[in-house]
Amino acid sequence: MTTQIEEIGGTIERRLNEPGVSVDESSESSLKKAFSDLCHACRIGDRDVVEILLSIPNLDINQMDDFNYSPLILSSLCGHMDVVELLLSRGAICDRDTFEGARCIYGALTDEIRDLLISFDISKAVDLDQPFASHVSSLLITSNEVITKDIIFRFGDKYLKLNRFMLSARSPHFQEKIINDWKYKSIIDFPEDNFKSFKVIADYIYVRADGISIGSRENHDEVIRIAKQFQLTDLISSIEQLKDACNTKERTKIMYDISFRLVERARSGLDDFLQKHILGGKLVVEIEIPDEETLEELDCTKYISDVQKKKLLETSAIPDIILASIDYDTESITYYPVNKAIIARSEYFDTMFKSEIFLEANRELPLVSPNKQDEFGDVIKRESLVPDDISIIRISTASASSEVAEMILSFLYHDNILYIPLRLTVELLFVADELFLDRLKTMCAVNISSNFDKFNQEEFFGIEKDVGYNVYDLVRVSWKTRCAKLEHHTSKMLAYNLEHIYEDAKQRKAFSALIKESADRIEERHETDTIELIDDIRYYLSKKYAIGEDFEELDPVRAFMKGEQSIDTVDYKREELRLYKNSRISYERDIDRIDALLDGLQLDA
Amino acid sequence: MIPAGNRRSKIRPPRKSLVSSSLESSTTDPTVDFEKSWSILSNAIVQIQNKSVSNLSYEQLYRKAYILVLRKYGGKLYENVATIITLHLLKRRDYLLTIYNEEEFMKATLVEWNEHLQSMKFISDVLMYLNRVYVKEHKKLLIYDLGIQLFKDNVIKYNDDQVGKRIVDTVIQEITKSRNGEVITTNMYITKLINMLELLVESGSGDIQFGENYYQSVFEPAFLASSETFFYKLSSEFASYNLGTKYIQSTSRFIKEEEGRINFYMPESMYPKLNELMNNIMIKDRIDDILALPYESQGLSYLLRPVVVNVVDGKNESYHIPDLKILYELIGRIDDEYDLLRLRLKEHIKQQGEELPQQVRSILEKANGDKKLNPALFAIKWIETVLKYHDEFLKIHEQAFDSNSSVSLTITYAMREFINAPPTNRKDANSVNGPELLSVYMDYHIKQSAKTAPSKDIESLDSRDYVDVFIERSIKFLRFIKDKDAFEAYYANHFAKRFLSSKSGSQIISSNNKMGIDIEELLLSKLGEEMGTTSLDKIIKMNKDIKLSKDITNDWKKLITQSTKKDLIELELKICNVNDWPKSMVKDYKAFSNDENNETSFIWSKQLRPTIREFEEFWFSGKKNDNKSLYWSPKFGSMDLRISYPSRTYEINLATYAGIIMLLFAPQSTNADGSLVSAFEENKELSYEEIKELTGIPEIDLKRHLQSIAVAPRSRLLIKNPMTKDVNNSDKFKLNEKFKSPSIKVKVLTVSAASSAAANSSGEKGSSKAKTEQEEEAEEVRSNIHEGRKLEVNAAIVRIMKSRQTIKHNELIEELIKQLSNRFQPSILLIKQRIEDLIEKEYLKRDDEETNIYHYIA
Repeated sequence: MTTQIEEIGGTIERRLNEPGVSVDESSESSLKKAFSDLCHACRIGDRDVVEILLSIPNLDINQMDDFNYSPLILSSLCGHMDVVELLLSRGAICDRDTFEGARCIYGALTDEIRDLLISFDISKAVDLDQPFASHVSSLLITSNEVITKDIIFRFGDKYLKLNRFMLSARSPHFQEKIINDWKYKSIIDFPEDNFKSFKVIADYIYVRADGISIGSRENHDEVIRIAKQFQLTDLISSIEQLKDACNTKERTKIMYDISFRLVERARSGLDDFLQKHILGGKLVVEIEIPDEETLEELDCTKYISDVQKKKLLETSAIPDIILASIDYDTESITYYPVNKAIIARSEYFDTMFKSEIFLEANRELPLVSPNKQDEFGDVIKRESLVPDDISIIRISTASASSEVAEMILSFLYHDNILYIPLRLTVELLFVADELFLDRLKTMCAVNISSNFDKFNQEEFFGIEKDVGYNVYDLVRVSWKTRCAKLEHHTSKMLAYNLEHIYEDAKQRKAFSALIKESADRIEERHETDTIELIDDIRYYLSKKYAIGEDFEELDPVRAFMKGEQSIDTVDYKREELRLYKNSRISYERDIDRIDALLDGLQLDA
Repeated sequence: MIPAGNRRSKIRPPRKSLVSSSLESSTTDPTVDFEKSWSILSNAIVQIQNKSVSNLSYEQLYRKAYILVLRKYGGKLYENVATIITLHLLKRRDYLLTIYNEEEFMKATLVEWNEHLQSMKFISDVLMYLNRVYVKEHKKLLIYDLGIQLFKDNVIKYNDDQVGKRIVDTVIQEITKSRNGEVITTNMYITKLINMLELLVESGSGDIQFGENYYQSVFEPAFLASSETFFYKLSSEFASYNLGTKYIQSTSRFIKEEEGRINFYMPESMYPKLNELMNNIMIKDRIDDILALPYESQGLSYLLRPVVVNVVDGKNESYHIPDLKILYELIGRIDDEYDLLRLRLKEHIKQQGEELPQQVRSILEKANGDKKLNPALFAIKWIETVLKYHDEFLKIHEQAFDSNSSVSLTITYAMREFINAPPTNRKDANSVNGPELLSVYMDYHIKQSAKTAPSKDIESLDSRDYVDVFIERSIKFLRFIKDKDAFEAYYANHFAKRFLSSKSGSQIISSNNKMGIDIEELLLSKLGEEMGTTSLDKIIKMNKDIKLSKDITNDWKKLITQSTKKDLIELELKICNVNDWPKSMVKDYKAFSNDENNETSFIWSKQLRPTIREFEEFWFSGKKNDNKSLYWSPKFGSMDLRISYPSRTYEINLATYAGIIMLLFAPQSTNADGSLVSAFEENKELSYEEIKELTGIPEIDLKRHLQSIAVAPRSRLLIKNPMTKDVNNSDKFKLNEKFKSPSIKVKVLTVSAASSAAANSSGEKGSSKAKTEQEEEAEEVRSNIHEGRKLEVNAAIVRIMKSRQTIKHNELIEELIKQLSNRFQPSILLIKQRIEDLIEKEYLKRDDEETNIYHYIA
């Protein structure tokens, strides 16, 4: 109780320790703060905050706080089922073999939570649920629908079908081979008895951590020998670490470390690949930007010559598709040589590649076996690729910025975007919506909310300068992109600045327009229907002035009835009461303002 | 790089229009904007539908739809898409209706359907953003599902289901053709069309997965209705042949085919519905009539006929196993308990079983000519027949009825029912007394095995087999018998008779001993296993007497060989405890004892008297015989006499009475040298009256035995004067000097009481008297049974009351029947009498208030 009173006595504004971390600062200190915020959110069970914090890259959710509690243990002790579920689905680990895991299970407040924890065995919790790792892993499994494999490792009558760019991204040695020796070869022969070891290596390349533990047991010496040859130092150290593990408990722990490290290594490998080969190999063509109305009709394929296309095709990015992005500022089009396998992470691209009657999908690619039904009928014969086989696709309609395009690529290749400039955040949000990248949408919303988390007048009027949009337009953006996080944050900003808005005629007009739009969003309004925006604002007002059931105790009548005041507390209580009265008055004043606005619009809500 | 300035904020083309609020004026006319994009999209949709896609760009089309949705044209776009698809579908529908050939129509419908689905997939891909945003927010049908809905509304259901009805009719028509045995070429179309109908979800039921679809709402009812008519027609047709086997064969064949058809064409949910319909119409409604068809129409009686023919007439007709099997399977389809089959089978077994005695009798009569039927022969034949009858049904059960355990129980119950049918009228040819006949049967075989045994000494295995087989059969038959107590009574009677009447009792025992088994002993143990030893108590005691008698015989033999007295005779003793042996045999046990009954005039031959005296002394000296009395019964047993006739000396075995008569003719006087004079020299002649005087044998028995030794041609030891068949009081007898026999050993067979009586006085008096004697014996067994039952019921009542203390009348009866049913079927009357009896004896009393409640009085 005391802490709350202190808070109220202070600024009143911030009851919750809202996350103040910006996505672009992944420094040690900001990660530490994010983690402590996460722990707090797990204690109080604020699922939304937890979700936001979980999208911060590089935040290890399995670490312990100063009192040796992990976020999972905290939420489980405090009985927040939804938070526990969320944490587990995002890779939080509950390993019964460890002291922490056992504590987590036995400390669970409810039976449901305990059952949930038990059902999440460590083997399931390994990063497979994380979109990046699971997507990359799924690439190894051959699927005929979209052909992306372009190299075959053959071991007698056994073989592995792989992607050149993955090999290249994960091993410098493979990269070197692919650029040189294997450039005009699609089938590479290896000794027959290397098959098992290469399977382990393929698992490693495609971030399938479980494959390492199974495969290495039988033939780790040979795996290590081959791994050395291809300079897979990380794989070697993992196997050796596993070899030393003496019991299952230790093994499990090591496996978790390895899979975590594997994912991180894969991320950085793909990031390097993106920076060096894709962004390094991009082609920028300056154009005359036509009339702005026809920008969306602009045909990017017209501005690139066959020679240029051929050059892109032969870059070390080993592309099978070219993404184009118009940059309005520099009046140019940038062409990126990219890999279908990766950009298919977006459902938009995936559907495009699979919907076979359209131009983008129905190109007849040269295959290793001419007949599709043959063994190698689903492997591209890269050396026979010609520029005509490659589609050029505009990355997005909603954006005319190559900077945004590169952030999208960054996200698609490894989930991380190092820095999202505020002025491009909305644009990125629209692209994320267009390409069905929900996680990226959350990241954009967090980028705005974490940079404008004071809810004061200064921020309210300053936001347009940094982001390019005022708060009213941001609310509209949130509606358009169905981004709940942004909607809540901006509604809160409106609520906290209601007084200034109401007093300023111009602001008042803009706000009224927004309320009307919100009302119109419900088709065929009934008398009793509520307006979502007004509901949100009223809710945040009650939070701002701390009006609610939690504070019933401050009600004078109730406080009096308790009759336990000593001389010391009487003064204190009196002070409390005064604060409560003040905020109650302010609250009611704001509520009246809203009602006045609604009256002006002849709306009932 | 141009620095971010006014220009950027001014233009930012896509975003500006995206975020524009309604208050901001737009430079372009939004309607024009929509029309422009829509014309491109609609064009593409038409191209997709016409499969004329040469260069459609997914990217471009997606972008158009994306922007339209962002600009809030989602609803308009959705409607326009629906309209353009509708227009297309209406055209396709018109095309379909131009096809008159049904097969072509089916094929074309499927082509249209598949192409529509295909194009809907592509349209839905292009409109992905619409699906995800507008459709989701407004809870409309996804584009693909919309396409299916539109197909249903504009192709299938348009104009009062014109196309839909035609599809349903055509499919039903084709299936009907197939049912009629035609080979149809539209198999694949039917299945696929049905799949299609299943996908057409009816509007109103918003749930695509669980809502009702066109198949369920239209096709299924129509199909079931047409199937019902068809099944009726078909089953009437099958029934019209008026031939049971043909009906079941045709029905079974059709059902199998129909099952194949259902599984092939229809979704799984159809199977139980159609199957029920088919089973009800083709089996349930008909099968009982079919079973009841008379023999010539091949109903059940026809199918089961070979059993009786084979069993009774010894023929070897093959059974209608395949047909019975079909019957079993058909009935199994409507009832997994096979109630109807079991009921009819039971009736049948019973009915045929009840006719068996008459059939057996007539066969025996035919074989025997006009001679009177030997009851033993009848018993044997009947029991063998019944057992075979059962065996044959078991064969059918195994081969045709899948060894179904409840059917096998039914067979057993049916057997029991006719075997234990209460003897309604003793004159009725079909009325039999199971327990008695079984006892007769066993009696015959025991004797038979004794007879055959010596001759088959070496092949003892065969004899053993013979014994085993008949014991096994007896036990098998015993299991069918409900009134076990009656069987016991008869068996006890036979057992006693075997022992007492057998003229070579020792022979049975000794000869069987050679084989290492005592057949009586063996049977007793088997029966004990079957019924429990307590109920065999009497027989076991009798058996003990037999053993004891054997020991005494041996002891006596030893005694006389050691004895100095010369006039002692070897005795084979049969000493019975009168309490344990059947009353009919021991009732007059005192009749021959002088000191107890002065009226009796029986006189032992003087040759025998020393032995009798000596033996009595010997016997009473036995430890166990202190408080016992010993009576002699000369009416049982036999004697071995050596008689020297002029032709030669014979060893003659004859009944005790006959022996005593013969001893009268033994020489009385001695020659000068002290040796006996020859009887023929004495040439004694005795009149009937004299014999009667000298022996004191009761008149009936005397006449009978005189007939045996003076009239019967083979054993005419005496000559009767005059030489008539009957023995009259004035007749005179003397030794037959001319007696001759082929072998030294002569066995005199005693003329049976009945024939003796008949011969004696063809008058009614004698025959009726003989009959009464036989009846008396039967009556006694019956009354024994009855008395035994009284005791058992009493005991059971007391047992129950002791444990329950208080019980209601009905419960008591129920419990009694349960407890007694493995012994006999107590009649309610008997139970009531017993309850009254016990109330009288103050074992229990009625409740003061409720008369149907009894209390136990300790």
